[in-house]
Amino acid sequence: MIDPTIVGKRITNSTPFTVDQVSITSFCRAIGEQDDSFAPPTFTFTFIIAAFEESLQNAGVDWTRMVHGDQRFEIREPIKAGDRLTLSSTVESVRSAAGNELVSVRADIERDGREIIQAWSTLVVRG
Amino acid sequence: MNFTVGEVLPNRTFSIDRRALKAYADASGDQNPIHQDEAFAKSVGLPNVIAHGMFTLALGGTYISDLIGGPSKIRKFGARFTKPVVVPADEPAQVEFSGTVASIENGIATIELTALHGDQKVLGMAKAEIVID
Repeated sequence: MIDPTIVGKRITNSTPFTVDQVSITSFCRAIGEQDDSFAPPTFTFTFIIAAFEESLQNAGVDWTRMVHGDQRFEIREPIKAGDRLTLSSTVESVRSAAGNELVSVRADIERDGREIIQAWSTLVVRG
Repeated sequence: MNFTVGEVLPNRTFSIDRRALKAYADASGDQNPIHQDEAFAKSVGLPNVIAHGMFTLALGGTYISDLIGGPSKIRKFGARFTKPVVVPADEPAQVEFSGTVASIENGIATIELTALHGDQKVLGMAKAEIVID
């Protein structure tokens, strides 16, 4: 059982991290994207997943049974190399459906104090 | 780019082999063995190695990006992961993307995406909203 009291839990990384061109370019190559002047929309997931894992630590999540249920992104401004970003992760809901446990998490990504991207993930722990 | 509501966009098929999965694992940092190790994948009840759902979604992003001239105009993007894409060692998996322009409003076009692996839809409610000039 996932601990329902983690709903609302928010984790913020206080130290900005910098996105480098090498990471964007290698991601673009892996997905066949020819334009690496901006990060592709799904690139964001490569660094938010660690924040989600941190949010769900000690919450009774069986990671060996975890699958990705859905994913969406809202992008006000795309990421580019040299961006210094901060990231917050919030647990939005925990629920059960069809014998599975579902946890929804949101990431808020800021550049220079301005929110540029939000991302929502539903992670499913198969029952 | 000039879209009209109801327009059907040209489809495109991506071929996913084990090497592509390794490249995606390295670029994304997702080294879960179900995407690379056949014995492990089978030990947890999967038919074989499966592609990362995020890899399939990323290919959908590439499909859209190529149609609109780069990824920077994508404002919303997402999908449900409805079925796994199974990738046998000796046979690359094919995923065919197609799209329809569902609406155009205030300079934003909404494209509904379909991703087919064989006759199965591997993404559900897949949508992209893009800025049009």
